[in-house]
Amino acid sequence: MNTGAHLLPPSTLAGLANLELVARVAVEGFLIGLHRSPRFGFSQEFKEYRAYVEGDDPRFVDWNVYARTDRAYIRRYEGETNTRLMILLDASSSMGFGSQGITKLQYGKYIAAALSYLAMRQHDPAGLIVFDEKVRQYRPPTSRAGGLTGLLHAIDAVQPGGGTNLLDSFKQFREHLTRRGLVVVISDLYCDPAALTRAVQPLAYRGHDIVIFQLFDRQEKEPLAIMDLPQTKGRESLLIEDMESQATMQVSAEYLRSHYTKRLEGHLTALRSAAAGLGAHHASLVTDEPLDRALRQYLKFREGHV
Amino acid sequence: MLLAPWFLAGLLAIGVPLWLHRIARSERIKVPFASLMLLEASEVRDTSRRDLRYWLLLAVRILLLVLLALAFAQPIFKSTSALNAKTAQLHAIVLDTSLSMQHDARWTQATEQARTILDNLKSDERALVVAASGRKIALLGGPVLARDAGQLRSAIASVKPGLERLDYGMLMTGSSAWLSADGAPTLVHFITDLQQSASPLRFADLAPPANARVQVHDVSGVAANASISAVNVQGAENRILTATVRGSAADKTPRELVLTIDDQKIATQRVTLQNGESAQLVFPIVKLRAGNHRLRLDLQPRDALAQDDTYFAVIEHAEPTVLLISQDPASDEATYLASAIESQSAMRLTVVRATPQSFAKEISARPLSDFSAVFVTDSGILNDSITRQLQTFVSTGGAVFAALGPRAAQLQAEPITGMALRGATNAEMRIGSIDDSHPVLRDAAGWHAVRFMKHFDVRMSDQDRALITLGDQTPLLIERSGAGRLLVLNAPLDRAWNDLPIHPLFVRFIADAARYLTDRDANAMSYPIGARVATGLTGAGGQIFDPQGARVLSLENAADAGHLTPDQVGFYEVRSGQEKHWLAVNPDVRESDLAPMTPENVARWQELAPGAAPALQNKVTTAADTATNWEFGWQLLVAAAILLALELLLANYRLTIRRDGTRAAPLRESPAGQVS
Repeated sequence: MNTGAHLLPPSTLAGLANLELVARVAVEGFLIGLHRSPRFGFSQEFKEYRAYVEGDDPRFVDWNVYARTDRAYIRRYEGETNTRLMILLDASSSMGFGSQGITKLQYGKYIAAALSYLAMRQHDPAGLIVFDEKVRQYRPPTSRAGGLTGLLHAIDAVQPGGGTNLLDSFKQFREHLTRRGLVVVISDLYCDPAALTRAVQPLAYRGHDIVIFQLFDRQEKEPLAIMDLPQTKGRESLLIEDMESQATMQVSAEYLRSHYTKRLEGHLTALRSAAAGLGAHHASLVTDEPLDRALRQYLKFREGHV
Repeated sequence: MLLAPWFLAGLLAIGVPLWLHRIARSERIKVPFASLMLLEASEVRDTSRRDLRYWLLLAVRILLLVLLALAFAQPIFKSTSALNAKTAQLHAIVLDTSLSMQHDARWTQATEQARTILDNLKSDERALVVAASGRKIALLGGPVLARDAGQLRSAIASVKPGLERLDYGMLMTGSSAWLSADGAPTLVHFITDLQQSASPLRFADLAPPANARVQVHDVSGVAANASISAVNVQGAENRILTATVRGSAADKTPRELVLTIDDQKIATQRVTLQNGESAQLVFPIVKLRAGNHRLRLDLQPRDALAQDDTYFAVIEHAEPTVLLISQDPASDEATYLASAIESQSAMRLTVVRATPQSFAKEISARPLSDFSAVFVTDSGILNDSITRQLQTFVSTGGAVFAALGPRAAQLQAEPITGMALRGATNAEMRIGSIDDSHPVLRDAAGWHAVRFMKHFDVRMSDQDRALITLGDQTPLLIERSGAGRLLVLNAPLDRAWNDLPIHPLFVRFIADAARYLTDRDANAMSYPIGARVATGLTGAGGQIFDPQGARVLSLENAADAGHLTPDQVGFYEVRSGQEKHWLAVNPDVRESDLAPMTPENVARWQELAPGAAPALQNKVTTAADTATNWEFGWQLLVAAAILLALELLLANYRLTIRRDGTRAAPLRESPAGQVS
């Protein structure tokens, strides 16, 4: 396929057209739009006064208040601007796993395309970073006409391969994410929650609004289904191969039946906790769920928090 | 018991499924998964269901190979009462393939009898088939188990009776060579026409070897046969041929005897044989030119044994002449010798006298080869030239009689033979021993009266044979064997050293010697088939053609051209340079005598070797052995076929699972973006 149009079926587009992507914190932008920028600066809409502290820019001191009260206050405004959307798509080998007719990477591509389309409709610049162990591709955010097509092409060309190294990859993101905006991470997050914290924390500190989509295959949620395959039926243990490292491990059905779910829940809890600690939003999606439903559900969730 | 135990080596093939299954055991199904991060390794445990399926297939495969190896090894189950291979009964079927077996339906009966014997054998008994004729005892097949007797039947169908004579004594004395030497009890089934003429001189020669017993199967029946038993030619110039025709009591058919010389019919005479008598028919032969002539007699009409109704002979018509070499033709010894030679009445010999000086002249007028024999009164008078010519003469089939006279005392060796001479001994001697079976010495009665006062001390070689020896064992009359005939008398023929010339036996002795030395010229010559015949060829060149015109001598046996063992009846043509002569070969006349052995003698023969007979008899009559052998090779093959089908089903079942499993395996997105 030469274009990424197939990634956005009409039903998905129709569902997404009525949604409004609202950034939780407005960032600086060139145009005044639907989104309120979280950045205080040159805006016509006054928001509050704040006591001057050393280091503040003296240009923002309200001299009239100072004249009346003999105290120095800083005027603060609420500015409105476009939100820069940067999609970080994990293209590691583990994203190539899929048991329901669609891989996680494919599902992630759909999400990325849908978000890009949504952003472009609102004239928000959207960009793309594809990573695994390092940054494989970078498309700067743009809202120009035709930018969507190029972006969709880039999304469509992503292939799985390599391992996952969030720390190194995110260290490289910071070179490209100089301006604050909305960062959407699409990954299966097979990493240590602490590593996620270390990787994402610098972005959060720089004011980025971070949304993490963690993708799961149904078999990852319910791995006992593997034991029902014709060639594995009746076995008490399985030789399972890691798609990233090709390492194998003999895993018992008993473990998959009882322990795995608990461990997965623990991992998810740790990830959510880490995301919450960073001020990021975390959502887990399963690839057999309808795509539009998942996005709508999440965007409604986002809307409610803005 | 396994008939082909080496096929058990096929059991090594069991290693193949074991090896394959060992690999299969290490092969585990790998299921791809996104990450092992949340998984934990557990102890490897195979399910009992997989074990059962796996080991079942392995067991089927191993059992299949074992059955195949066993089936090819041809196992035989033998009960404890069965004999082992060492003691299994051996039946030796001996077929008489001599000439007499060609009579009428004898051979057909013999082969049917042999097949019947094979059919009646038990499966655990062994059998072999031998064809016996002449000096050839041919093992046609075996020993094999009776159930594998197909090759023996083929051998029986392919063999035919020959032309030679069989001597039962020679057959039995050599039987240990072709009978199995494993000590097994043996029953010799001798299928023959039981000719009395085939019996040995000593009845004990018919005894079979140890552990063997003879059972004779007589296929003679009532036989009528007529044959030409002998042909004799007499007379020097106008010769008289006498043919002896012999018939059996049952044969009273009038017949004609046809004489053919050099393919030209000469005469016919009618003969009717009565009560098995012989008849002699006389044919005068006139105007026969000099040289070799092929003589053939045919008895017509032919009877059931046609091979002995024809007789072949060769006669040489010549004017027999003897060359007498002496120092003085008028001397006593020359006179005595010439008179004795010319006194021979059966065949008139012409004596040509020569001295060493006139020898060359006589030879130039008449080649030495034209003389029937050469007589030398004293070997000491021969010079080197004459000696060489006489040696050549003898080596090419000529005959020489040489006496050692006083002149030989100067020599170290007798010139013609090369026998060493150690001087003369002056001692009165008489005859010590004499070989009266020699044709020259048939009348030996007077030799003991002869006194020898002086003689030479002669050393003979291996080729020489002393026909007469003196009292001190000194050879007196010596014959040297070879292509020709050579007699050396260790005494002069005058009266100086002995009184032989004045004894009455002298004339007879010289006449017999002359007849013996010129014998081949005087008689109709023929040889029995299978005899060793001197051809007169010296090895350098020459060829022999059999009666069918085929060459007998090849490059390999050209060195042995001096002798021939004919295997066909008829005329063999012997060519040497420009000369050629014939050798007539006839069947042995004893084969024409179809009179059977007496039943008493046959019974005595079968009772010989009494030690082995009872054991053999017990084995033959033990009927319980027939059910003790059980071959189950084919049952194993059937079981192997069933197992093969089962193995195919099991293996196919496993393959089907793998194929389906591949189809249902989790997706893995390839680097090219295709989802498989």
